[in-house]
Amino acid sequence: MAPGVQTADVVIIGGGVVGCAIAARLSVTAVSVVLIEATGDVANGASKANAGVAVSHYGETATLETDLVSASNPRWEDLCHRLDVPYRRIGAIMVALSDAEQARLEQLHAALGALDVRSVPLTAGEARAAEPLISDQVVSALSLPDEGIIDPVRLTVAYASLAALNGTQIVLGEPVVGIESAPQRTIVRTARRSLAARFVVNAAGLGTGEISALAGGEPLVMWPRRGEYLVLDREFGRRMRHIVFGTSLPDAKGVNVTPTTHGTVLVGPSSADTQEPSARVTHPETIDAVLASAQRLVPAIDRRWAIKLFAGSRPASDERFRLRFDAMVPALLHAGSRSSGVSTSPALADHAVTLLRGAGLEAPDRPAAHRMLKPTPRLRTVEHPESLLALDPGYGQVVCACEQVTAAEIQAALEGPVPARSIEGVRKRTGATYGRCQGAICMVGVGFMCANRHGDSPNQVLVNDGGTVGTVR
Amino acid sequence: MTVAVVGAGLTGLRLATQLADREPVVLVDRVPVLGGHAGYDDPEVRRCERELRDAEVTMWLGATACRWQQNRLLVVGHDAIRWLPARHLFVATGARPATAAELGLVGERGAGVFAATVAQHLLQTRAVHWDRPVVIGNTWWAPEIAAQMHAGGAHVTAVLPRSSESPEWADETWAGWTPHRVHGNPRVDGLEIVRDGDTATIACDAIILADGPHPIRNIEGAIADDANGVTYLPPNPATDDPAAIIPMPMPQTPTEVVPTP
Repeated sequence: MAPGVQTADVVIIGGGVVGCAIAARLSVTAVSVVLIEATGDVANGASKANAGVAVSHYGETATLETDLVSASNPRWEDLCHRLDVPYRRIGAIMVALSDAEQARLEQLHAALGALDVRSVPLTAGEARAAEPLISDQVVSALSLPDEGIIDPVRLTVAYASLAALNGTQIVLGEPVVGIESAPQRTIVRTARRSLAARFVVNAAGLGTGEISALAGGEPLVMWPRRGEYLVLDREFGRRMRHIVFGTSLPDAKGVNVTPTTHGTVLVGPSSADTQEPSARVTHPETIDAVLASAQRLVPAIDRRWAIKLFAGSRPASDERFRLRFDAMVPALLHAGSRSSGVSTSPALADHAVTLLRGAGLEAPDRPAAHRMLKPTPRLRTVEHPESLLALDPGYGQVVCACEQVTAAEIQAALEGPVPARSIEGVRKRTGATYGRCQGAICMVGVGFMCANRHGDSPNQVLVNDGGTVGTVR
Repeated sequence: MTVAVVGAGLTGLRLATQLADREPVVLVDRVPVLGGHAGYDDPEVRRCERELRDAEVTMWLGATACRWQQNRLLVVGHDAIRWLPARHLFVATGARPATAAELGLVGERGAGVFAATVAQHLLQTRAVHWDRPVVIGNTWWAPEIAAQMHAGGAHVTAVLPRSSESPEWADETWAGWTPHRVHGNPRVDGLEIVRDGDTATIACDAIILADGPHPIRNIEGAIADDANGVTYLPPNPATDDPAAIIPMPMPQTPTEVVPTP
């Protein structure tokens, strides 16, 4: 072995929900794992900017993807309880506003029945009784009781944290620059290290094609599919009980109105394939169109409730779900999804381990491994807030008043197994700066806490992945 | 029964002095000093403080009012986290600058876009430096921030969407132009502005949001117009009479919104 080469049984490339879920699953086995993420934090791609729905179905014919969605769905309550991730099975109502959409819903109901996914047809009256904010133009609807809302970022961070607790090395901020196949092992190189692995998992999201090319694998073409969203204030969110889905027709994808675990409501996404280098750009005309579509479903939606606009990009590809070994490089396992990463992740991780074991990886489960994370009580959601001060005096200091985030919660995010490195990292883990004033009151405090924790000057505190508060003089 | 007043700036202080004649008052402020924007040395602040001390009004300073639920106010402080039962809640929590969403600002999400309140605190520490900041809007924060940035050698550009004037605090002013799009990632490097179909881009290393002001409203359960037992007080009211105080213009509650045709 060349000097300076570290060995691992499995190297996972990509710190999104798919890579982190596989890392968490492998971490409760006896194998050694290194996860490498190109950016400075986990959950920095599609896992960060999505609607946060753990769906009950995705597709209408049986595929590996629909099987994994169905296998994951019953597990959310237990998994999210163990990993301290917000999840609520609130159900969705899919709304038909025309005869064509009604016909489409009837077709969907039949298809879901064949897949054993629960769905219940509703009359217009029943739909409006269940969700009073639905438009009175509704013709009929379909209730999907097993749709749930989840915090996709907290889920990803929790998977990574569990892996780290169990000994997985999480390497952040190091893009993979080379992959060389050798007999019995594959060398994965970043600018700072070389890792020799028996298996490499390619969970690089939008970078999947690039990683495959570096390894000499199949040509996999990925492109960003941008989705633009509006975030509506919790004051509006508390009036909604369900997710409201539009009905997608062949020529038009429906827009959704989704309550979040933060209490806000997401309106979107738009959907557009893009070649723009920065796909996280919002456009006024797109936002207007999203708003107009959403108002057809829920007329009470008003732009004045918008606290934030954002765009995320999903990794689109001609293969909508991919969990298989490369046809040319046998030690390379591709794992990625266009849109169902969160919803498939628990069962996807199991299946990935099954595939790796089938290819010769000896990975016996370790009964002594951690399967739970220590929960961080949150002021906004804890049942008895008055009891928090006894746990930690930091609960007495509210830093972000809009989202009711205390210094204790921020400190926990800065000190966790996969710690926040930036103001955005704190926001992703706690919600601080994410509220209706968008950090106008609290961003300074969050920044100073980051500076103190990581020994940076306040000028050089990271706001996001690579962008600092101030300019170097 | 007690009434709760949140916000110990001039508005909250004046109201508290008047209410204190009639019923028990608890005055709450996030900051452990009275005065808010007016400052502790304001003579009116000091007069109110004397009156409140004489009336033995309870003050919870350095404590944050978080939630209003069934006539109880959740107040979080270093010494206690407690539910305060109250007959009524008066909210006088001041103002903040408009957010990027409120300005309709689109584009990239690079670091370097800050609310004026954030910029103000960062500059006060003298730990933060920008060379070419753009300040959007001309609220009271703008001149103070500009002065501090000038002291650090910055070239300050103003973008004033609803003005034709050039304020003294700016080295360069784009009056009548609307901020439209942020450029730059991971740090901002430009602000695209528009006017009557024309577009221009200002090179910058920080974008300071100083437009508005908008009311700070962040007590859960006390946000909508129709919230039970809540009165909002605008910052710096023209009158000292609480009965004459006009509620802030707030977004209508969703149930009151007329569906768009």
